Amino acid sequence: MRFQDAAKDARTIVYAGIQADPLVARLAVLAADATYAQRLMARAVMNGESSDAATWRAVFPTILGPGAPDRERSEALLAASLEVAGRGEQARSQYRGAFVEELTEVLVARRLGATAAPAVRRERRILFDGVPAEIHPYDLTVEVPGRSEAWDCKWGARGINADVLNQLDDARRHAAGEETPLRVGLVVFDVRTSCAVRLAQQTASKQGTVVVTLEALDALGGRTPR
Amino acid sequence: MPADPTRPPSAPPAAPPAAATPPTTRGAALAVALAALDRLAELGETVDDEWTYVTALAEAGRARLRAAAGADSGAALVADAAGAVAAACAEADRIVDPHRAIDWLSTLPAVVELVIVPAAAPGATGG
Repeated sequence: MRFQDAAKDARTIVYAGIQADPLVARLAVLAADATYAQRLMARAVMNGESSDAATWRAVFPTILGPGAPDRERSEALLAASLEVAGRGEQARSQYRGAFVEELTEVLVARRLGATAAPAVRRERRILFDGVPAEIHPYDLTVEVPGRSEAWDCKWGARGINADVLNQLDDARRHAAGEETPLRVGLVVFDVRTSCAVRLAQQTASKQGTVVVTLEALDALGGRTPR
Repeated sequence: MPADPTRPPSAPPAAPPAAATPPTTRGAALAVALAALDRLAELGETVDDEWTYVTALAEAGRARLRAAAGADSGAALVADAAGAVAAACAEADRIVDPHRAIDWLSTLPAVVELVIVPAAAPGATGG
């Protein structure tokens, strides 16, 4: 098993500009240390229609109301989420995807520790001897011999489909065929219930695929929920 | 992809209701939230390929809301919670795009649950 950079096409070059936007990194860092409630608020705002902060303060009084704990982070998350929501329908979709990828990288790198963090890579393909390479790269890989990982990142449960489940499971099986462990999974910035509903409707093999939902992001970073 | 063959003929989504007084009890909050959820589901069901997912998601959402409301439907909501449920459902009613409605169908029950029973949140240590 070996890893390889994905070829760059026009779409990836445009998307790279979004991935590099400081807004994406700011949002990811804020969300990485957020509570479940703060993350749920960010999801609602980035999905929402209202662009005024007052509306969202009314919807989430326990985190944005007067005297709410960690209110400064909640307000910063709200502001960043509103910036994403304000980018227009197509751009907001791309920003949300880039955000989930960045958040995943922050959390996985945190779990691995500073020395292993350089082994966390983006947009990489995984190659196996005698197996045709998949066209689509993995959003994030951990390239540490003996404990490698491959993750795909989704904004919502709707992003879970047969193609992505099959690709992840194929990689896991091919790695096992080379007697190399490979942890594979999906990081979905959506609630567990929705992911369970979506997964129940998929016939693709998923038993060996980890699904990390909004409630379990802290575990991805090696922490217990705040 | 072809349209979902299990999907019955669709009816046009119901119009959002006029702004209502915030619910003051858990039972009233449940009724408001269920109504908003049903409107999102109707809108989301217009995405042919996702009809099966939307109907299952709506059912899971209704179950989550009923569980959050609990058995004591007469239990009073604090003022912030009453306003929050009304504001969340009003936001849901602003959704006109069916794809966004599906996203909101996933999010609304969790938001209402958080408002009614904040202790249900992962990592929460108390009400």
